[in-house]
Amino acid sequence: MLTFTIKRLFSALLTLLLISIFTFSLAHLAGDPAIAIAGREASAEDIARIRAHYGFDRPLVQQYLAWCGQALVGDFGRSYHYQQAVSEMLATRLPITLILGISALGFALAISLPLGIVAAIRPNSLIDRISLGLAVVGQAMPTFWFALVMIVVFGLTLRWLPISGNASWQNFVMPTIALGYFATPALMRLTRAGMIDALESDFVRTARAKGLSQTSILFKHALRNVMIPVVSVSAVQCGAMLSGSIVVEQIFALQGIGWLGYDATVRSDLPVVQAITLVIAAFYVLLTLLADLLNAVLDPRIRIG
Amino acid sequence: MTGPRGRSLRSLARRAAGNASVVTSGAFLIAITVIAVAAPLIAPYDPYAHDLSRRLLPPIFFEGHDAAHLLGTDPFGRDYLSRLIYGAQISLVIGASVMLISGLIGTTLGLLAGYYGGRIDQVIMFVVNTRLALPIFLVAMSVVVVFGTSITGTILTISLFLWDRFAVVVRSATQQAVSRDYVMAARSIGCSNGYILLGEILPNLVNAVIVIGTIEMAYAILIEAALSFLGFGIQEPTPSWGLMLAQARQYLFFESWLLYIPGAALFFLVLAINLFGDGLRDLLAAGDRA
Repeated sequence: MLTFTIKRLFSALLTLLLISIFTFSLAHLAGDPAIAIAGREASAEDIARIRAHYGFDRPLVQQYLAWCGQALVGDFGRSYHYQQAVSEMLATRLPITLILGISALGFALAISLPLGIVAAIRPNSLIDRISLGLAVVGQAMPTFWFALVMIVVFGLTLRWLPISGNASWQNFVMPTIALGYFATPALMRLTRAGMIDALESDFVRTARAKGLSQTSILFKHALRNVMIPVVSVSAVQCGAMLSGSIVVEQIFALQGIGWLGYDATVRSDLPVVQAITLVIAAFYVLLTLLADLLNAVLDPRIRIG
Repeated sequence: MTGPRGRSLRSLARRAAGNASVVTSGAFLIAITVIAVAAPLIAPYDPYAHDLSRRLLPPIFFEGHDAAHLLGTDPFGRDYLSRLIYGAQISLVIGASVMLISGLIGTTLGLLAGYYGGRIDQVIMFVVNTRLALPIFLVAMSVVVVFGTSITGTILTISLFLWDRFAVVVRSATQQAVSRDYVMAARSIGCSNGYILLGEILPNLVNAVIVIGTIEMAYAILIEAALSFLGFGIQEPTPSWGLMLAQARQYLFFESWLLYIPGAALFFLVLAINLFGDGLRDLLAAGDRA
């Protein structure tokens, strides 16, 4: 288990290193940041002064190492536009995105697990058909369009829910559904397929032969085996949702890091874009790492093989 | 190889004809493709022609419509149906190009990783994991900021994000193929690695690659629409469904049909591609078993 953990940890760190190089290069390909800060009408002296002040005149490798060193201790520099520490901006925005991400994953699991399990127990039943329909529709549904249609129906026409901002829990209802539904099809198909496999397997037949109750077979034996892929895919879907939260937060003006990322990209506020890319990537790496470790605990074959 | 392959293609076509889902979605896709290709002949108006005296006319199933504009007009007075028809061109061209480019990248990497294994496999899988960790929209938007907006740029940017599934699937299929008799036989008679990869292994992976291709094409179309919606994809005045939705956003309350029409078009196109891919996968799986 220890070797597995160390190996996995090492590759996670390496991934983050590669991503930090990538985001840094991308930001510096974007053109001269000194001009971006000073504005197009700035004089040559102003630009030279800004270049020296921010350290843009140093060699790129040196700038990268400095940026990395500061990022490691949580200092992502200052926003060009808001003249505020990026880490402070992230700290105020991050909780909103985390609430959205967790509730969206909760929503997706609350739909996909029960429906997937029932669909597996009774293939071709009405529930199976409904869950298949939900999955097929969900896969083809453009998330941003779904969000806008909800705004028209539940926000503007029925007036049940607020359409923008993050003042109360009600502001999170539609974003949660939009983002959660996006993650539902994959989880539902996986649960159904895994459950069908498990129910046909030898250990379930043995459990039946021993005369165990249906509940005990389903929840203690079959579901445990289904949980391994579900945990992995939940982690991947969570990463996809963090990425998709940019679109959803932008539509609902939910001011989390996705909203901030959009705003910063529009303004070419590079330190903010860099920091958010790195933070989202770090979350993904962390989630998949945790999922792998959790699976290694659930399934001894993973940690040995 | 050609003999049995030709026969299996014919039998595939015969079985496809008996599969309702493949027939319906296939017919729908052919219809959309024909409409997109023949857009200059079919579209009732020039999709770029402004007419500010005829702004925001509703479609014919609403009151106050003008029979000359079946689906009404947009905020610039451009015919909505014509823009919808030309928008199909953008979706299909981007979907197909991204599928080809990302398919080429992913299949190549997957073949190399699965065939050579060891260090090469480790490096390629590491790159796959790194790509998965990158937030698609944020990075795509930054890339657009750096390189500017163009259709080619949009295609290349999206392609860089959608090759991973090809790589993973082709890799594991190649790993299985390497231990099969036909690959060992080719090795023992001294065939080069390049010939074994392209001549022996690749033809046996075509089915899997095609099925992944439909999934990625659908994704590419959705991502293009979302990027254009956010202002980082196709730009005005080019008609793109995502861009039409961005415009519709300002008229949600009184002209919500502006939102429903391009959104439904997008939904049904992606739905048809997915159903076609699902059906194809079932048919191919049944063919492998037979």
